[in-house]
Amino acid sequence: MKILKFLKLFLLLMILASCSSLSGFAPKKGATGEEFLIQKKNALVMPPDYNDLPVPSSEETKSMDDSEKVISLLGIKSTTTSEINSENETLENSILKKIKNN
Amino acid sequence: MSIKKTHKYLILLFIFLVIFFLDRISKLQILNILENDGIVDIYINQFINFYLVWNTGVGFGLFSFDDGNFYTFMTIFILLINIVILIIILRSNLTLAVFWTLVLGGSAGNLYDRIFYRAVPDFIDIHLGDFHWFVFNVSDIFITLGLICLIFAEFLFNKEKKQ
Repeated sequence: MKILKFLKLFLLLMILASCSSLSGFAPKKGATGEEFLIQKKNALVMPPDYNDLPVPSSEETKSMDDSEKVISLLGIKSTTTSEINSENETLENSILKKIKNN
Repeated sequence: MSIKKTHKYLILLFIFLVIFFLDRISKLQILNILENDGIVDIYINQFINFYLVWNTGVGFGLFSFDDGNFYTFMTIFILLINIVILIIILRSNLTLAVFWTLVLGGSAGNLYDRIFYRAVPDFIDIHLGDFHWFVFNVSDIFITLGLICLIFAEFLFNKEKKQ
């Protein structure tokens, strides 16, 4: 019986009072967070090797053979055929010189 | 009408008028600020702000619809409840009548706004950090106070009856 009476009084409070919510306990308009606690981010900068990167639209991509990839990974300097030829010539000359001398 | 009854009604009328005009003065002050500044957002201290919100519904922001017919229905319903409270006041003893007058004074303040502004201005915003309690007005304070007193009276009178 008492509970019924309290419920009636509470219902009366709900009908007669006119309190309203600030959109469901959300922080009210204008009340922002602690602005001093917000960490500022650095301005965006270009990456250091930006100019070395390939242009996205260009289709010319350097294809490497597997052997070349291995050589590049090992750090061995690749030698060209002209260099090899010149080396061979010098070797020939030295042999010929030695023969002549004998 | 006996002198005792006349005294009772005079006391009750005085309480009713004090509550009604306190509420009206507070609301008029807030509406004046709104007219001058365009917005009411006044910092009182870290727990209380004055922030104007118009409530077209009932308590706790319920039934805030744009439907005009429903609004009219609710206003008539509240008016009828006020008449019932008035009848209860006339039939009660002085103590209970004073408590019911607190409720009626507050309710009449809100009813006045419902009729003349078609919404009730709420402006007392109590909060703890970002947790905001419902925004209310002076009328709501008296309505709540009256109903709390009635609950306590129920306890006290029941004890007396049992003894």
